Amino acid sequence: MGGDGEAGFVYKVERFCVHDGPGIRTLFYFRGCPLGCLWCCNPESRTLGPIRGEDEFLMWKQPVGVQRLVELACRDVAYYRSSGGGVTLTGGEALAQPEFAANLLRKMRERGIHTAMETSGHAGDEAVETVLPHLDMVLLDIKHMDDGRHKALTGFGNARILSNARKIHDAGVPMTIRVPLIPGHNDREEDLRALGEFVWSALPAVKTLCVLGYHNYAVNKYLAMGLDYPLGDLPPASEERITRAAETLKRYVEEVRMGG
Amino acid sequence: MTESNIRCEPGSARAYKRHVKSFRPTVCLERALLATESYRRTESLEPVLRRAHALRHVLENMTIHIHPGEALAGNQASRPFSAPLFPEYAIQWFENELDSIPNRPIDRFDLPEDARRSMEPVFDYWRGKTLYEKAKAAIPEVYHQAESIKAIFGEHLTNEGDGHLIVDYEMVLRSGLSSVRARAEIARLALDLRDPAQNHKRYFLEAVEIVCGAVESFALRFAVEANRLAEMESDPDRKARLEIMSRNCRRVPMEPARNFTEALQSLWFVQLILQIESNGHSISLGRFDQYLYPYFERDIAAGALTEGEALELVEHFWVKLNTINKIRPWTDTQFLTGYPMFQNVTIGGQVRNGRDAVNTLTHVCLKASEELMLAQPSLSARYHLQSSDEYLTACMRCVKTGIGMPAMFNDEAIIPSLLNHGVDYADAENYGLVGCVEVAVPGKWGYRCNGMSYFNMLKVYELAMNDGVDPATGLRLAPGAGTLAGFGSMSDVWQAWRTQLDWYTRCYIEHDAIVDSALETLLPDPFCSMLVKDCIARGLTIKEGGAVYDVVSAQSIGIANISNAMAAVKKLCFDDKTVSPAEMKLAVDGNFSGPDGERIRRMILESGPKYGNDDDAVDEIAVKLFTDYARVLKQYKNARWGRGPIDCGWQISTSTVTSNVPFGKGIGATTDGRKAGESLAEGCSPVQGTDRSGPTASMNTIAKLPNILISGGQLYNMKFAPAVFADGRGIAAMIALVRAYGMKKGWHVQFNVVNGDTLRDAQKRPEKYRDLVVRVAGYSAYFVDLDVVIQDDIIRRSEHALN
Repeated sequence: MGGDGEAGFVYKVERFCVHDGPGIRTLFYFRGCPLGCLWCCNPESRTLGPIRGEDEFLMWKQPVGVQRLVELACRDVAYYRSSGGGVTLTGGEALAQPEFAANLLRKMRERGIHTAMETSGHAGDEAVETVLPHLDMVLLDIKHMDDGRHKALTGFGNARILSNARKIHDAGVPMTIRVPLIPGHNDREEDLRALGEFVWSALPAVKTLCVLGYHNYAVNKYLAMGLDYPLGDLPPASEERITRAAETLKRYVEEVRMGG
Repeated sequence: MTESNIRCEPGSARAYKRHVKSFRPTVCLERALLATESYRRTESLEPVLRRAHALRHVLENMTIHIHPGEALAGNQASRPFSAPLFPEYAIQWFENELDSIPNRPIDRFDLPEDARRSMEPVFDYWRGKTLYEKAKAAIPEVYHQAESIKAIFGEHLTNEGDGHLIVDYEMVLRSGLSSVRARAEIARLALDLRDPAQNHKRYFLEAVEIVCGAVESFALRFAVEANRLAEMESDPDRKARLEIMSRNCRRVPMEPARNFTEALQSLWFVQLILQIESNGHSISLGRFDQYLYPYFERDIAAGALTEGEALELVEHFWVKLNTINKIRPWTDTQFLTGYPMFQNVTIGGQVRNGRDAVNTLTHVCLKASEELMLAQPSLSARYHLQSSDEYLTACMRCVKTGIGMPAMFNDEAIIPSLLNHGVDYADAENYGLVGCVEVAVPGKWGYRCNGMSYFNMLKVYELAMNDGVDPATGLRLAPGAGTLAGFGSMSDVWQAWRTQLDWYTRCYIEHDAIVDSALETLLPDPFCSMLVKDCIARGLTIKEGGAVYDVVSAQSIGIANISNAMAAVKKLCFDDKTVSPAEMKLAVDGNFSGPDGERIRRMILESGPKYGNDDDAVDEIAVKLFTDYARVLKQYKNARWGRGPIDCGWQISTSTVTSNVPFGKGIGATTDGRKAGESLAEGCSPVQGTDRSGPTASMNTIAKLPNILISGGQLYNMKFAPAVFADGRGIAAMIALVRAYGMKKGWHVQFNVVNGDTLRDAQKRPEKYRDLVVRVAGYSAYFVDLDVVIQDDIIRRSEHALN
């Protein structure tokens, strides 16, 4: 990818989002992600090469200039102001294009726009250090505290992710931890308690955990792309299950939200 | 006996609502019969006096009834939700359609037995005498032709009263109608009858005095009836209530109101009688929460009323508004489906140089609408840059019910737009909403700030692309400027457009002026005029120029379609040159049929972002369309010019009602990819389903328009899934949307909150959804009452979801 970070791969821009950071936000979906989570609901994001399937998943197949994205984001400034909103980088994995992400975030900040990033945390030190100074907020997923289980679920262990979580926390950037709850895969009582322990001891400034119940809305995307759906016909996490998970986690943080 | 409030228990109004809703829509013949009787006896009198006598005869002899559970007395016809007839405007249509009325696909009415036989004397008397016949005879042929090709629709102006205004309710509450009678008498006695102009004023002022007497008698009839019922009543609470009602009816509306109940009763009599004198609709109540507040506040402070009891009374008033009905000829009905009365109530806003006007009564009004979920009144919430979260949250909570109310109106655009018409600042700050989305200064504005002809702008575009010739009939009325096939650039397109626009604008303005003359001469409204400043002081009816301000507008339909149409032509024919103008013309002439036609249609649909997606290229076309049109209208004055009122101009309005459907039927295929006969977009909203970039993008498009110039009402409809309002976060997002729109000087926005599945289900099983109220275009109606094309229209309007 372009080394100077003036352009990058973004496959979608969504306006009027309220579940990925405070207020009304514009979301930039970055293409490319190193992980391969079994429950991923944006499979179209996970490669930089050509993707089979419906074109409507991909707004842009060529790199997009930072300026173009800035111009688009600025169109909703009035709504950010009236709602305490801003922009959020998501995807895919924004940290996989750190120069590009940092450039975009810096230009948002220069215009007084609040910046947030949703991330898996799976990235090198340099990537995190490049992007972090330009972020007002991070939403980080923790999928499993057990390294081996983490690898089975996502393709990689969790050491780097947990270390980056600490790094972001210690840099003083406000962070919300998101817990994707995948029934039968990471939702045992001891799994959740381990997660809660980690947040409580290593990330004391984190006030909010969000439990995101597994859903299978993305099945059609996989089918359209000619891919098998990794979780088969696993039913969505029940409201009861999500509530119980939230109960467990409530002991470790001030606030546990169900959903975004 | 001192005055006291009628103190209803919680649920009282809802019980009354259920009673009222049990009545099917019917036609009531009484008014027609009584008015005709009176007209037979007043052949030698001046028209305004004939009107006054007719009104008196009706008010003194029509059936009156007080229903169990009512807190306010007064009925428009012999049953709730029964439509009276107004033969003096038009009655031939009724004679012709009588047998089909109970079987109309929508907006049907039951008829009394022997209706035709009972009405024979009415039909006979009015032949040749009605406004409709006289106006039609007066209108030159060219206007009939313009209507026949569906470029304009002005039929409704010839068969109904004007309406579309807010009378001076505040004055009635404060001073009573006896003060009006006194002023009329003083003015009359000061006239020099040797001067024909002054002598003419005498007739109006005499009419006012007659009408005041008639209203007094009418109210007294209810006082007597309430007393009669009280005497027979065994339940002590009910008996006490009837006695209070009787006393109230003896006092108001002739005398000032002394408490909240008297105020509402006085208000109700005025609202009611306006709609007995004339069938003009959009009789709007103005700033209800402001002028009633002193009565509310005093009573609460004195312990004479609780907030809960006030809520019940307001709800009773709301239910009464739903007992009013109107029947229209079938042609008109298609432009206004869903039994709409457009009785608009304004809440919130600013007072006294920018102070927030929201008070406890504001919240009571919102609660009343939220609880009752009725189609009337149209609740309009004014807001401004300093509106509180509390107020906006209460508004969104009501919107959440799905009734499409309140519609949100932005002081930051509307007040400047009134100043632009020469309105005094204090008056501008005091504006109220009328009908759908138009504005007026309460008690000081003439009729029809909106509501003149309907103007089919997309038809005008079709004509412009076709050398001024209507493809369907071959008729050419305006001079042509070539056809699209021969155009070499966009300036040819704009030139052709301007030629047609100029001609047809002048056409409807002339048409409307001629009808105005006929109405002015034949059917003045003494009761309505006496309640508008400065009619009595000037001795002139509203139509003669009695109002302080008088600005009117027509309803202009189709600008979103034209923007897309022009954008496609520009891109494909002149920028990219991938479709020649001749090919494009051939494609629309053939309604996009055949492989070439289909191909070109596909190219049009994919030619670029459509209006409503925050794309400057197409949005700037819309801006130019509006700005040009505003410039055209600035040349014209209405029929009151030079006779007294300020401004007397014409303004733009995009209040569609449901005209987008019949108008669409009259246009062939157009270069936005629309096929022949398909409905137009409504209001200034994007074409149904083409705003694909979310609500912020859609709103940004609307915000680019010169909304301050669209002072006849810029109507913007948005649809949201219920999930958006499910939690605090969603509601906060909606409030932020409204605030940002306010900053961007948007005019109006209304929210339809029902998901497509629910509406589709309601189409299949209407019996399950009788209660479902949706926002049509500037008003709410029962979904199951609407024509299926309108229903589909509402379903198709982009459903914005929360991401």
